[in-house]
Amino acid sequence: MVWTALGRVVRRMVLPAPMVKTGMFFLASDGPAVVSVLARLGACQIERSPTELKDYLTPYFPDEFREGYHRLRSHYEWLAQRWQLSGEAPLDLATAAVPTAASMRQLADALEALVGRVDAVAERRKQLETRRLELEHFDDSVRALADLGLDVQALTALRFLHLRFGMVPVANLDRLRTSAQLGDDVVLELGTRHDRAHVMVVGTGGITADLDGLLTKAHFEPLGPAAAELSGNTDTVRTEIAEEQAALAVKLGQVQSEEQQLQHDHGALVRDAAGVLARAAVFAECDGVMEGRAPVAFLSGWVVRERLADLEGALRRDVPGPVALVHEPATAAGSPPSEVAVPRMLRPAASLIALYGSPGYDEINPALVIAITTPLFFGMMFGDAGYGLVLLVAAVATRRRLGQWRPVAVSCSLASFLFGLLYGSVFGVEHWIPALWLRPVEEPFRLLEMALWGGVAFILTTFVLKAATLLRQDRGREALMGLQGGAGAVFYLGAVLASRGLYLQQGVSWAATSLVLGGLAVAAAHAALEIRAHGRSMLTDLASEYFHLLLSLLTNTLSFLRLAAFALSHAAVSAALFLVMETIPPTPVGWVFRLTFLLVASAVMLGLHILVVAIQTIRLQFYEGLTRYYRGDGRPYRPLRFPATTA
Amino acid sequence: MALRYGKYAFLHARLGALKAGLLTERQWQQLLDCGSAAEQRRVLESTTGYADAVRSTHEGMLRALKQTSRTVAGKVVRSTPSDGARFFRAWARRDVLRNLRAILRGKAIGRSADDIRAVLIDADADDRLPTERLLRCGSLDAAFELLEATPLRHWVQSARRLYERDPTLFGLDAALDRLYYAEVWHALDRLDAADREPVATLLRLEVDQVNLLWLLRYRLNYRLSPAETYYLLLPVTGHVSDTELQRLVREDSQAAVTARLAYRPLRDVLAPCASIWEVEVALWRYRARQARRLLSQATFTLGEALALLLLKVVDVRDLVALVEGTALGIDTVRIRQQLTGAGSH
Repeated sequence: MVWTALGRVVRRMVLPAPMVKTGMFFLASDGPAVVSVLARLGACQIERSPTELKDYLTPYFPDEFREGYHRLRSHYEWLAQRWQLSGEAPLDLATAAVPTAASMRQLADALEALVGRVDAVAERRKQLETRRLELEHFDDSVRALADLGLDVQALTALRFLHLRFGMVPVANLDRLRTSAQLGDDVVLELGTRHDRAHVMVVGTGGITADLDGLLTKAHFEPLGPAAAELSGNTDTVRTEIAEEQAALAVKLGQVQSEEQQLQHDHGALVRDAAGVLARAAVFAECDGVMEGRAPVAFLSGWVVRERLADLEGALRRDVPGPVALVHEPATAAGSPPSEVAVPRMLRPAASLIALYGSPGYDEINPALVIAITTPLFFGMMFGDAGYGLVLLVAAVATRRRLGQWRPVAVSCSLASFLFGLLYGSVFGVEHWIPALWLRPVEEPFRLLEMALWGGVAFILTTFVLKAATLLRQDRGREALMGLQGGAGAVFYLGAVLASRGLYLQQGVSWAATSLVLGGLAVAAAHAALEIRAHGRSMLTDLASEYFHLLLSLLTNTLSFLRLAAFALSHAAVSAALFLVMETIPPTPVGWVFRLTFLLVASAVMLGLHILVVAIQTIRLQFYEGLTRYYRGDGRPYRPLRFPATTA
Repeated sequence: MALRYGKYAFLHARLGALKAGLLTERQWQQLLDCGSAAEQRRVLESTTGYADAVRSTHEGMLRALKQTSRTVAGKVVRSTPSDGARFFRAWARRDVLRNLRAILRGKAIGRSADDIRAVLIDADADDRLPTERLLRCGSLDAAFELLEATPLRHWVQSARRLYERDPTLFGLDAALDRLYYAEVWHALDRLDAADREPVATLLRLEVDQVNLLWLLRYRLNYRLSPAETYYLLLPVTGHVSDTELQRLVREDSQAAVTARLAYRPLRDVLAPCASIWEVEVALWRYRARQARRLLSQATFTLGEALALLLLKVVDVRDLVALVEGTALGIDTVRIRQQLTGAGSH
């Protein structure tokens, strides 16, 4: 019983769930109800590519819903941005339903009216703030002119002189000055405040349209009161400015309260709109996908086989009109999505695989293999009980930040610690504890041999996985007789044993010879059958494939030497670190230097080793592993469902 | 020197492969000899650079063609060391600028979202232009407001202020151009001196082209004063210096502007031109010639990469002119007059 249950769990982790391709015919008016059922159950991924019915049906989507949705969304986004609304409200998934077009229109009308009111208040506030800024700048200008001691009234009274005061952005000042000179005008800078410069534009003759055009382009903002008032009564003008500033501050306060009141009174309405939009979005997703011919509409999608009955029941129960649901088992040829139940522990491995590509419907999900082998590779390359413990503590301490990568960090740290015990290595010191297995520096060749055997075991596993994938794809003969499958594994095992015999000068055993010849003979028979079935053009394809495969077997196997090489490198670098440290004299000051050096160098070494070993681990998984048995061209299963929150 | 070869070895190799995607003079001749759009498609299907682009409808093909130069730019960015990549990313933002301009112009003249969408280029996710939300905006003001909440606000605020005071579309264009080239020049200044010069060689010509064309349009078409014209030119200059531009804006005819150009190669190129359109074509052709020369020298510099990108832009520009011209039934001679790259020979 336990084994059966365990087998079922592993099967769900490894094999994508069987899918059925479904088509749903329903009354067009029931569209929102049908989609509500689908989104509540989360049991159907809508198919977006054209169906076989494309020649008989035309795209269909209720215009009223589309218009209401876009209007509501546009007003909501405007208000959410204006009021800086954030935060998420949960949706009740059990009762969630697509809103009606009429309810959305009503809400959109209400929001539209609100937008108008908010906009009007904002416009008033903008005008007041502009005026406040103008007054600040004006005050500065009045002071600047008074400081210059210019009799502005006398200047403006001159017949052949034109004069203007105002502000321009500081960034535009140089360009304006040079440009104005081309029209024989002079721009004098009176001072700057923030990003604005106070300027006086002086020229001969009257103000021309050309000068006006130039000043406009330079964002020149003329000062309000007439220049004539500026002469001789600076104090009066500044008093008037101060009075107006005080009045403005009161008005600004009123406008701000008005804005806050609006937000307080209507915040709930906007939050309601967020909920309505979140529920409407699932139906809006069907725009362009739903087809129909009045009064019937059609949707197609993918449903996990074991949930089909639930879906049928829910559609019968919750949709007012009739729903005809047709379905057929999915085949890989139809490119169904893949749903693989990945437990939380394996999610990092699944994320790693996703970088390579999602598993196809007819493929095996390698997450379990990756999750088991990744810490083994990491630990073997970076086996150190001390550093492993440090990494473990760091992983536990930063578990929140690590998020879904926590299991990888913990398992790799643990593996590093355990291999450290096996190697008898603590912080690079090789004599503090006894080695439970071997010391890399003392037995490098044994370690290299073990790394190679590890590689052989891994590559044999990839043969098994490839054969299993081929079997799943109904390519049984290739799984057993192909060089990528059974025959290849037999040949590879024979070749490994033969190489070992030759290396140990023991000669090639009969068993090894039989395995090599047997594997090759079966592969050749398979090749012959393929050529007979597909013609001679297969010959070059097979020759190239076999050549590449044989070459890659050699390089992939040798590649695993890095498992030992990096373990040796860790031991060697640690030894070098202690040697350098011992060159520092053992005086009291020297010990301080020694300790500082040890800490800094160890931290650098730890960082570099983690980086390098992590890269090598990923490389082994991707290049030596996944490329051999995994295609990764599937698409993940993303059923239509209501979002859990309104965000 | 050896360091430079090492630094740009990969980029050089990648450019070698990308060069094969440019149309040759022979392929252009074949395209011009085609009697119909269908034949042109067949010729393009046999090319390395455009085979994928032609497997679509007419509109889809035009979009896909425009997209190819963006794809090449992406490949160049990915093959260039980080400082150079930063420059090319800034340079390639012209596509964001083009989309932004199309959207703002479209909103200003009340075009529908679908009409605007049809002329946009598919931009990368990191372009930060909220295209769909912009298309949904009911007015230009709403579009400005939305853009001011994005990282593009520094581009937009200035353009908006200008447009509000002076609601002309060319003013908007000029403001966006000024901001774009200021950014590109800033990115250029951040390159090492050795990397900067080969890039600046081509970029100066581009800046000259923009400045001269805007100068002629402002003075002769829009009748702006010398002061306004000078103010609206780019804040950076190429072979035509700032002082020279101040002199040129005072001229009131194309012939006078051309005759007073101090940089002789430009003067020679522009002397035979009778209209602003001819000036534009002549400048494109001149830049394409310079780019081709730089690319053929295998200099192992960033200049090579910019030359390839420019030639790709020219190729695509010409192809779009050819495809659209053929669809409109324009004869080959007139189409050829518009071409600026290898097809113009």
